[in-house]
Order: sequence, then C-alpha cells, then structure tokens
Amino acid sequence: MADTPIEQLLPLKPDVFSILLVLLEQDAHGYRIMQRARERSLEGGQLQPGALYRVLRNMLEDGLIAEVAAARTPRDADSRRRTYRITERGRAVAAAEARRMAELVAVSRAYRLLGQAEKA
Amino acid sequence: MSASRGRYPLGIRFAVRLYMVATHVFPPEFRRRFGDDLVATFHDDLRAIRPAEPWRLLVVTARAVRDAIHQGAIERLEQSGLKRRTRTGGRVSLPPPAPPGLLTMLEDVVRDCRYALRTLARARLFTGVVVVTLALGIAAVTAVFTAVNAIVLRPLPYPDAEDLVMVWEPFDVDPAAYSRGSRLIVTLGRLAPGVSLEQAQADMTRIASRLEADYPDTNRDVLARVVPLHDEILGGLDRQLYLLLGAVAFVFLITVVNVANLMIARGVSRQEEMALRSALGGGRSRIVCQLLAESLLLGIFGGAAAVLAAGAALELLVAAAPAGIPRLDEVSLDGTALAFAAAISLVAGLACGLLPALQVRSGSEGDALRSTRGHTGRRGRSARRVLVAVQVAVALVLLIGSGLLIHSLVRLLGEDPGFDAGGVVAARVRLGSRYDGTAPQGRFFADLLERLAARAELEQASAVFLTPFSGGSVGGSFEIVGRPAPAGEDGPSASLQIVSEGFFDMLRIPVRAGRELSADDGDSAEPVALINEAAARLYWPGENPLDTMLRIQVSLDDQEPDIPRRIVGIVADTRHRRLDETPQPFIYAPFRQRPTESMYVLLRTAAGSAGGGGRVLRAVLTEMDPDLAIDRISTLSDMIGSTVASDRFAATLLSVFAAIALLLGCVGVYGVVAYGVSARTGEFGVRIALGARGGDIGRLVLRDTLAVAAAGLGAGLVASLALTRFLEGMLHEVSVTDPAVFGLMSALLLGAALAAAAIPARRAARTDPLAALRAE
Repeated sequence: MADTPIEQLLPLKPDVFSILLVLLEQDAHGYRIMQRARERSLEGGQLQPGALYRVLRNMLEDGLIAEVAAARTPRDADSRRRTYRITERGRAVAAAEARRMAELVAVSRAYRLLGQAEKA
Repeated sequence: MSASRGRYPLGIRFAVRLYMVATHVFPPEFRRRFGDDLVATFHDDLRAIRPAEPWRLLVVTARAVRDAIHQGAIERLEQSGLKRRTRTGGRVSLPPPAPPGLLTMLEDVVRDCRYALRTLARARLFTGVVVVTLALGIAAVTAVFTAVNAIVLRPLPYPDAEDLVMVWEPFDVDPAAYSRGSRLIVTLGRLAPGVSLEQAQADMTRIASRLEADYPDTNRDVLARVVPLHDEILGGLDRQLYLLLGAVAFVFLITVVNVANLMIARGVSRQEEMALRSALGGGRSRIVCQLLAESLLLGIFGGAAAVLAAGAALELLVAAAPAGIPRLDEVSLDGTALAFAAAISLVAGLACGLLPALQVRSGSEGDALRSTRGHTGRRGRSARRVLVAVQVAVALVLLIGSGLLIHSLVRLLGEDPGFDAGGVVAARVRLGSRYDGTAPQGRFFADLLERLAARAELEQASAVFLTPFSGGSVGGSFEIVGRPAPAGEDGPSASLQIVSEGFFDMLRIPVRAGRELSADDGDSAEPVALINEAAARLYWPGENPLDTMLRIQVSLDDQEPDIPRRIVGIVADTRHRRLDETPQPFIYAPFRQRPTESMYVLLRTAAGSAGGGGRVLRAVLTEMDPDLAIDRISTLSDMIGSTVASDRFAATLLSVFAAIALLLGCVGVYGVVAYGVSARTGEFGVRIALGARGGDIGRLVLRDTLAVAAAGLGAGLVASLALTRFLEGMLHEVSVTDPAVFGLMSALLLGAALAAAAIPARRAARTDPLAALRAE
C-alpha cells in the first residue's frame, strides 16, 4: 500500500527495481519498459505482458509509479496505452534499494568475494 | 506499419484474437483496467518479429498466451483470498487470510449437495430432460468406447500377444483348400525377444530365396510374408471403429452443449434466487460451488442412467454389427467401461455447469434484485446463441460425414458384379476324404448336377469351386506354353476357378470369344480352359489368346501338376471379392477334367427362396449319400451384401448419430428462439402497437434464427472440410468434399433449424400488444 514504510518494501523484487530504473530515465508505457529493460539486460526484460501488468499494478498500489496523461495525437498508435512515471516515493524506494545493494557489495568485498577486476 | 504486418497479417490477427481470448482468464476488473494495454503490448511483441523468422510468431504467441493464463489464474486466486497477495518487495509478509478449515469445506460440500438435491427435486421436468439427454450421450460414448476397447485396444488374450505373427505365402486362400501337401501354408510364430517385425520379414525372405535356389523344382516363386496376428485378425476394422469413436465424441459434445444451454436458460430464470442468496451473504465462490454441485449431481445421475442404457446400446451395437467382426464376443460392460462412464459423467457434469457458473458475476446481484431482465439476461442469451451455433456446426459435420458414407454405399451397391445373382442360392458341398481321388469326386458332382437338373423345382443348377463373394479365391502362377517367363522374372498368375458347364449361362456371364464349356469337355476329351477378359488384356495384349496352351501350376489339393490346356473361350470379367475391386484375371477349368473335393452348388429355384433350393439339395444329397452335409448355404445376393456389411454398418451408425445431433440441434434452436421471443414480448408489443404486422415480427424472429444457423453452418462447413479427409479411403467413387452432399446436408440442417424456429416465430407474430405492454 502507498503508506507502507519504505524499509518494509526492501529488498525490492528484481523486476520492480529494473522497472524503476527504466522509468528514472523517461516515462514509458508497458512495451517500452520491457524493451528498455531488455536493451540494458536488466531483470524484468523477459517478462511477458500478463506478468508485467500485474507487477505494474502492484507498483501503482504501493505508490512507486503513477499513470500520466501523455500528450497524444489521434494518429499516435500508442494513444490507447497508459504511460507510467516514477513517483517521488518510487525514487526514494529505488535509492534505498540501491544503498542496500551497495552495502551488500561492500560487505562482499570485505569477504573477498569480489576479485581485482570487480574492484577496478 | 512494419513489414511483418504486411507479411503475415492473418497470422498476427489470429494470434491477437487468441491472446484476447486468453486474457479472459484475468478477473474482469483487471481486464477492464489493463486489457487493452496487455493486447497492445503483445501486439508490439509480434511486430518486433523479423519477417525472416516467421516461426517466432508461434513461439511469442505461445509464451504470451501461457503467461496470460498463468498470471490470470494467480490474479483470480489472490482476489478470491485463496492466495496471499504478491508484493513489490519486503521481508515482512502480510498475514495470510485464514485458510478455510477442512471441516468447514466438507460441511460446505455436503450442504451444497443436499441443497442441490432439493433444488433438482423441485424442478422435476428440467432434471428429467437433462438426465435423459446426458444419459443418451454418455451411453452412446460408453458403448462405442467399450467396443473399440474390446476389439482394438485390449491386447489379444495370449501372453505377449503383440509378438505373435503370422507367416504365409502371398496367395489368399479359402480354408477349404488347404490340405496336406498344399503350397499355401499359414504358420503361427512368435518373434524372438528383441527381434522386430522387419527383421523377421527379412529373415523369412532370405530363407525363401535360399529354398528357391536349393530346390528350384519344388520351391519356385515361394514367398513369405510376416504379419502381426493382431493386424491379421482386425483387418482394416480399427479405422472404422475409430471413426465411430470420433463421431460419438461429437454426439457427446452436442449433448453437453445442449445441457449447458438448458442450464443457462434456467440460471437466467434463477437470478432472483441467486441475488437473494448473495444479498444474504453467500459469496460468489459459494454460489459457483452451489451451481457446480448441481451440475455434477446431474452428471452423476445421467451417468448412472447411462450405464443401464449402455448395456442395451451395446447389445444393439453388437447385434447391428456385420458378421465377421473379430472378438465381438469379448465386448461387454466391464470395469474399464464403468470407470470410463464414471469419468466422462463427471466431465459432462462439470463441463455443462461451468459456463452457467462463469456467468455468475460479483456486483450483478444488486442489478438482478432490481430487475430480472437485466444485462445478465442478455449475456446469457448471447452465450446461448454461441452454443446453438456450435450445436449446428457439430450436427453439420456429422450429417456430412454420414451423407458421404451413404452416398458411397449407394455407389458401391450400384456397382455391377459382372454377373446376375438374382434368385441364386449357393451351398457348399464338401466330400472330404470320403471320395478319395479325383475320379470319384468328379463322378459324384457330375451325378449330383444331373439329379438336380431332373428336379422340377429347380430352374437351373451348376457348380463352382469358390463362388464369387464367398470370400475365398485361390491364385497361382501359370505358364503359357511356348512362352517361358524370362529368367528371374515372375511368370503370369491368375485366380483359378473350377466350374461346371452351366455356370456362365446361369450367372449370365457373357462369352466374349470362342465357346462356353460343355458336358463334352470330359475326362477323355482334350484338356481345355476359359480365361476372362482381364487375363486376356494382361497376358495377351493385342493378341488372340484362343487356341494357345497354358499350364496351371497351383495345386488345389493333392493333385498331380496340371497338364497343358487349350484356351477355347474368353468370358466377361466379374468381381470376385468386393464390389469396388478391379476385376482380376481368372482361369476357368471344367470340373469334369479337374475335379475337387469341395464345390459350391448354385441353384436357381422357380420360387427363388433359399429354403426351397436348400431343401431340394438336401433331399438329393440324402439320396446319394446320407452322411454328406451342406457346409454353408446362402443366397448369392446375401453373400454380395455381406461384403459391404461393414460399410453399411458404419453408414448406419453414423446416420443414427447424425440424426441424434440434428434432433438435439433443433431442440437447441427451438429453445434459444423461444426464450428470445418470450424475453422480447414487450418489444414486440410496442412494435405491433406502432403498426408492425404480425408477419413482420415473425420474419424478424426468423431472420434472427437465420443469423445463428448461418454462423453454425459456416463453422460446420469449415470443420467438415478439415475432418472429412479422415474418410478418405473409406469412400467409393465419392470425393470427401462432394459438393452435392455438402449442399444437401447444409440445406437439410438449415430447413430443420428454421422449422424449429417457426413455432416460437408464430407465437411472436401473434403477440397481443395490450397484454405484452401490461406485463411490462
């Protein structure tokens, strides 16, 4: 729900995090989100439409993203579709998730799980 | 648009349509909100496919459809509270909904069943109609399945029966003709473990050719064929039984659709009850369970009635089956049959309850309480129209299938066997070892024919070794004297017949050249033979076979190799085994020169009855030798008839199924039109009040029916075109897409549908506007 404290949403599901990353860049509709995730080899790029829209619905309910009324022209083939934008809360959740991961990476380094190449 | 759209627009359109259907697995709320986006996203996926990879269309579609079904099901589970909500993340899980205790669930089931029983008991007419309909469908499927299972599917009652094979020489033979020293041998063998049929055949061929090399005198042209015993016993029968199984599955489908139709109609009239239950706190899933309990109970009742009916249906099936179907005595309602009946009863119950149950929607309760003719009624109506169209389509497939088989049968029966079987009785007389040696055998039959000719009751009598359509023939190679077959090549071969001199005249087989046989072609006269036109065409193309000499090489029993015979005549071709065969080459030798121990005696009585001819023959035989018995007696027409018995059987059964389908289809059309008329009484009243005539209203209703029937016919025609090719090979001189049959059956079905609609249409035309408006 949109009032769930941010910490309680962590760790984010990988496909949720990927979608937030894609939307940080630019607003997008469902197919474009998948396409970008695929291009960037992010998790969630392989989602099928049914799964994708269930994730988007859950993200809407948790207040991580919002629908936007995009500028539409009648000849636009995409005019039927909803476009999604990341919310302030979504940014905060994504940042929190990133910090959580960074800490994990730091700990992994300390345990020498990551080699020289990764360090560079 | 991108190139891919132009390249396979049809494929894409179909894929999108399919995907749209799949999205219906999602709950309605989700579909309303995201349905368009789902489809648009899927469409984008399709458009991204490169034209060079058309198969990707299948892959992408299959993945997306699977995903839609999977995710839709999860979404529904989550909504109904049976599954915890998926979240975007987090470690702390939400408290799961209290799972319904096992005891509560059991209590629910028992309560549902008791309530369903009470409801069904109140609606006796409805229950009766549904149970009888289901029982018919289930009984028909069970009976045919049992027959197929017993005859085709179940292994033979020998250990490892699938390894049993038959080994034989290639000539067909009448069992009467085997005897010691015969060159036609059938052996039963068992494949060694790990040896395939092909290996066994290769071995047998090798042995045969070695025998031929080592003993060229006695083993020329010896061949061996290895055939699985199962196939040998069944012949081509399994195909016909599978056809029946397919047809009966269609009947079953129509039955279920019909019952589903009835249940939707009833569901619509029960909306108030449902709304009340819902208002009193019955959740949607509870109401759906309730409806399914009812339909399952109906299925169980139908199944129970079906088991009783299936016994009778099976007896009918066995009785109607043509003679000679193997393993028919093994057909009985056994455990497998009962389990099968139980399983499909449950399937039928579930299937016909599912659609009405799906129509129960949360949120529609309020509407239903307010008005009994709300939008749910319209939804029910359109679902019923689709169901009726399905019924019409399936009925058409069955009608066309049976029409093709009947057309083929008529064609087959219209074929000329090449002789006149009218009024001829054939009886086999076997001398066995009582008249050892060819001379006594020949004298016996000559004496018999003479005595028969003296009887006033008989018009004609003759004798033949294997009468046409007795099922047997003996074939073998022969030598044309002075024209040896080139080394390494097979010599000529033909079927051999031994006949009395009256044979051709009696069966009205014309002599094309030379002369007939006569009583003078006896022991001391020059050995002669006749051939038929097929033999002349095949072995003497462009020549005159008359006066050439031939030597028959096949031996019927313990006889000496034959002597050269002069061809003195050519007779017309006849068919010998089936009406649809190409006439085979035949050689006819006079029985006075080449007697055998077994002959069919052909009799044409003045009265023409089998009993009459048989009585005379028995009397004469008793005079001659009281110990001789008639082996087999039948009219020649019946013998011809028995070769098309299996064709007739298939055509008859399929016609019965088609008739049931037609009837159920008409009931469906009647039901949906009658319901539509009663639902639109108010509208018709208004129309008439505004000046429409009764005839206009009637036409309106018929036009509506026509739309449903036309959709069904269209689908049925397409399905028939796809399915009738399974009949290929079973049809005689009839194309599987025979336009006459397709057209006739479509017209028949359309006429029947309109006739069924005419009754409610007339009622609609007579709508009393005042009464109709008052009722509103």
